[in-house]
Amino acid sequence: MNSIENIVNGCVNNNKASQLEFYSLYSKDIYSVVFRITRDGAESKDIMQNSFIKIFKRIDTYQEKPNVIVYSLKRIAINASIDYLRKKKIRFIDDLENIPDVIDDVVDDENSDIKVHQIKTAMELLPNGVRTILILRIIEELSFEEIAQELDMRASTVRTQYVRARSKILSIIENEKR
Amino acid sequence: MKKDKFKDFVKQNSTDIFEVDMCPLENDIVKFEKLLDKEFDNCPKKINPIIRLRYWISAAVLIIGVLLVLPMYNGERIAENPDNVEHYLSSLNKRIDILISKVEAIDSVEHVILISDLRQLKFDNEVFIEESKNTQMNKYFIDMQEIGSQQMQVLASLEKSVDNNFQTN
Repeated sequence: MNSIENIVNGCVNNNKASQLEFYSLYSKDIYSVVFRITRDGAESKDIMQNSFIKIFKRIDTYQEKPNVIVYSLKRIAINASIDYLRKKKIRFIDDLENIPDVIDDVVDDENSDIKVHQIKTAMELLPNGVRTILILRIIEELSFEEIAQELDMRASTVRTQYVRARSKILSIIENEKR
Repeated sequence: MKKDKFKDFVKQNSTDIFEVDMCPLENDIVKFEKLLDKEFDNCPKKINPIIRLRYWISAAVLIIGVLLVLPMYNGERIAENPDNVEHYLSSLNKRIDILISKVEAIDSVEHVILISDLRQLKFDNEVFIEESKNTQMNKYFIDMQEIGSQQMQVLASLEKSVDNNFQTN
């Protein structure tokens, strides 16, 4: 198997075999990133493939730093996914009504009986925009500043939205218990 | 700073919490290959400008080398100085003169015709010498290689035939 440096060098020379090898290595990861945000399979595939084309078109800038290329590819895919949500008029700020006082410590307890499926169900109930903030923070591990940059918001607003979304999920789970 | 345990928990179980439908990825590589063909096949390959310059210099050196060296060789080198058409044709004419003088010693009708042909050949060569002085040398030299090699063969055959004739007579 070729090293990432060799594959990137092949891509710089428009070598189709290298481009396909690079695609095979990272397409599933990038598709997952996009799908979690858009939740639309066909759209996610198009966004993912176009992200690869975009990175190939500017690949010569990564020749000296091939390790950065995957991070950049992921950011391109995230940007495109957020653009897709914007086109669908998805709002990233939500007032998330009826949030009780924070129940942060629900998962602090090791004996907590919170189940994965409960969080999954609660996540589904969140508005798309706020859910995106949670995904970018938890799964993609972006900082609040980076998320703010992506969503064209203030970092403090992003932080508030994240905390409120988390509280909302935990309150949904609590309500289910009762 | 308080550790975000909710974040850690979700991250740990992210595969189950955020299920991803992978079905659209079936045969996606075929579609991607087509997309690559569409986007990149007509793009000229990017070549480093320095490497491109080196290609051009190499090509120029090769072309100049071929132009300089090729006229000097056509199987064998046919003159001492390949640029000197006059020298080459003059040496041929000297051989023709010797041959004429030998043939003149043979008294026959056939040989009178042969002498006439040889004088015509010598005249042609003299015209060639004059033209080559006024025209681009290389062009004539390339022509001369063909004509000269034919004349060489004819002269060698005639010389042999005349020598045999002398011996017979």
